[in-house]
Amino acid sequence: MNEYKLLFTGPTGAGKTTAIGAISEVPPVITDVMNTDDHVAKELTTVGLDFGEITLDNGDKLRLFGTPGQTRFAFMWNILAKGAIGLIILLDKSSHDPLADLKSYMDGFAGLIRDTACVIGVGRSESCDVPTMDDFGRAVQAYGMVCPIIPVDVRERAQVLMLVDLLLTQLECK
Amino acid sequence: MKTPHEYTYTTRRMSMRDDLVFKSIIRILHGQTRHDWHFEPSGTADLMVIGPQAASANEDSHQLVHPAMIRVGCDVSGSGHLALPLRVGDVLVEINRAGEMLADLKHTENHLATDTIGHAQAQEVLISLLRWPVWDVLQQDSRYLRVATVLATGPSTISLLASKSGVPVEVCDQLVRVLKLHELINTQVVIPHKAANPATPAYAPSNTTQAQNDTSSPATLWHRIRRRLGMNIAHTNL
Repeated sequence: MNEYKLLFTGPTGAGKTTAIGAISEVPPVITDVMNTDDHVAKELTTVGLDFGEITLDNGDKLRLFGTPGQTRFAFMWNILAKGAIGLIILLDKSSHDPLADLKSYMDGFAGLIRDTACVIGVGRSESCDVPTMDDFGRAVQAYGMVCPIIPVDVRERAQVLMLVDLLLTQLECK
Repeated sequence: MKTPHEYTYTTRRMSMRDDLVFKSIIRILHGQTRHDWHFEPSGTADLMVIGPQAASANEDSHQLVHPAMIRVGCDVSGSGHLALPLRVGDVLVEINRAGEMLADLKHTENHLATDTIGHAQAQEVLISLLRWPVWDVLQQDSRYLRVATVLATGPSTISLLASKSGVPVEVCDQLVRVLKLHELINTQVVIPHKAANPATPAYAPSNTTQAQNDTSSPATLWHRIRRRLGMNIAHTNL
């Protein structure tokens, strides 16, 4: 049996756990504890990683990993990125500085993005006027790259599937 | 045997060491490559060799988009990529590949200049996406999202976009015109026939039925994931 790995990353509250839960065939294993960050309106926060899976036709597994969102767990990012087929970055447009969030994940996963593919999903895109979706595009452009950046509600399975679809489309073109 | 040409290359975002090693390898390989290569510090060189380092504050990312590019710092060498540490054999393969591509481009430009018949197909253009389009642009047609995603992976002609995305040529052309209006693309004339039959490894357009119907060819991992998630049947709503 072969195992493949797809990573979901993004800041706390962006919806990684929800996104994995939307497409995993098993209830995701969630390593949550009580959230002590006052600026994030969540009762629980992921401090290990989220885990879901999808079984392919011959029994091979596609593992879905959600990285811890807080940068103090960034030491795990390189470990998790090793061997992954691609990366989905989930951002929260209503957060304090979503462009800085994007930059931290572009930097933290630079090798994986360069070698595979990346899709960026922006949640709560209607919550505020700035930054604009084009601002996110320009931020990615500053890295000499282009990747899909789309507004998304990860509570909708179809929209999470769209993120995966766009990732696969890029991988198929490589 | 093709006539060797002289081409220029430039480097960006490479460490001093890797930059020096790459240039040294090119000098060592002088006379062994199919074409002759000279370093050009400006962004007007024929070939862009781009490393894994972060962009500098004053870098113009538009200059990074070239028809001929080699990315340094990948895990595996091949098809426009070079792994670190740089190896002479890998550099030779990639520099020759880039040289052949540029020679083919030059051949096409000369052919187009002397072609008195002027078939419409001869004017194919290589399109490079500079930045992801805003959502308002893509929402105009749900197929735009797929075409833009294919274009995000690298420079392409309209015919190749249609082939890879499974979206009709007319729709691809429409999107390119919209992107041009928004100043989101660079263009350059290329070969029509070679671009329509890419030499790169096989790919699997997401909405093709060929992979599904061809029971003799093994399914790719991407196709198997799509099939498991039901993506080959219908695209998700935008």
